[in-house]
Amino acid sequence: MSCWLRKETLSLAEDYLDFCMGIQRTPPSEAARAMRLLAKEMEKQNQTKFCSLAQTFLSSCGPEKSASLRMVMEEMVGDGKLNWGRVVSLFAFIGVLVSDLYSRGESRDCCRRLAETIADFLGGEKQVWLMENNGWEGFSKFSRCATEVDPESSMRRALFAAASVGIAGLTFLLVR
Amino acid sequence: MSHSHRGQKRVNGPTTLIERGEGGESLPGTGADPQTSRSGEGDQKRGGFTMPHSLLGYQSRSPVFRTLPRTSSGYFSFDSDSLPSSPLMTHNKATQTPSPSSQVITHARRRISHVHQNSQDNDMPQVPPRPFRPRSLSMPADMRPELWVAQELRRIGDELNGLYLHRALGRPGRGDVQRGRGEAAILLWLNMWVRRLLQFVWRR
Repeated sequence: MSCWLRKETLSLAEDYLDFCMGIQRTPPSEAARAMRLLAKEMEKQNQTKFCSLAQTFLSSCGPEKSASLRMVMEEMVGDGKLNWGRVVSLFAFIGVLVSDLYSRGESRDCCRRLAETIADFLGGEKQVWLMENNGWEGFSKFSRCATEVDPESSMRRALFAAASVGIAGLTFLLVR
Repeated sequence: MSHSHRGQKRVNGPTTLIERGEGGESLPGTGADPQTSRSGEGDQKRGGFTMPHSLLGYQSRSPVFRTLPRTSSGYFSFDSDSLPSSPLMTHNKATQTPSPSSQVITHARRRISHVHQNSQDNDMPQVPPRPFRPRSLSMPADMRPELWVAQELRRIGDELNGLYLHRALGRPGRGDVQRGRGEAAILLWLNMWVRRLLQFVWRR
């Protein structure tokens, strides 16, 4: 089970990092597609912050990036909590990191090692948490819920549209 | 290299102006500059002319006899390659006097490159070149970078997770009776509004 989970995590991480490097291909799973969507959206919303984080990380990590990344992941769950939001932010950060490294001429092997580091951490050390949350299938559900349009805002929008049409019609009748 | 005479000195007088770096440090080697220490000689040889002492006072003010490049700002320089000076100077390549500010910038840039080159030529053990390290303003100075990165990722991730929880728990049909009542009230109000509108149209 854990080996399967690690493999799936590695596949998802490699797909996302390849996606960040500009390699076009179909996402291997629903979870991979969801990760592309969510992590890229998060990166867009916090672009300056992620760039700053990546620069700080690269300037301090030295040649052993995987070891530093592992430290970051361990610090991130240092309060004993892990959630899908943190997993997405981790992927978004590594995506920014990898695209920066790739633009500097780093090889794909370096990016692959980072993907393996994530897989070792999430699919290895955090496999209990992952299984408790239905694995990457659970992430797909999380993604559907997080990306769906807020029903409250859609209802409000519909009401505004109806009110606008009513006011326009009334005005038309009164003027006539 | 001629850049070893970077110390800026006024040759013909007791006053010696030495360019100092940041923090008041003088450049190494400028104090024992052999070219500038010749100012005490009897006859002054400048650009091929030999001048008696009586002309020294005049030549310090006249641009004709000025041999050190002195630009319009009064800024002396030994670098006759780039800065304009007397028309008698044969090495003058400049055609227009740069403004004082641009001269200062030029000298500062040369000074920096000179210091950089000195440090490279030095036999002292070199500090390994480190990449530029931008320290974010929000990052505390005494915090490890990995810790800061982890904390920021945690914060951003928790925001998304909070949004997910808000939407997951706030869905209709999951016990949120208050929201259902509100929507029903809005629908009733809309119904009434449309009915009145139709009545108004019917009467007309």
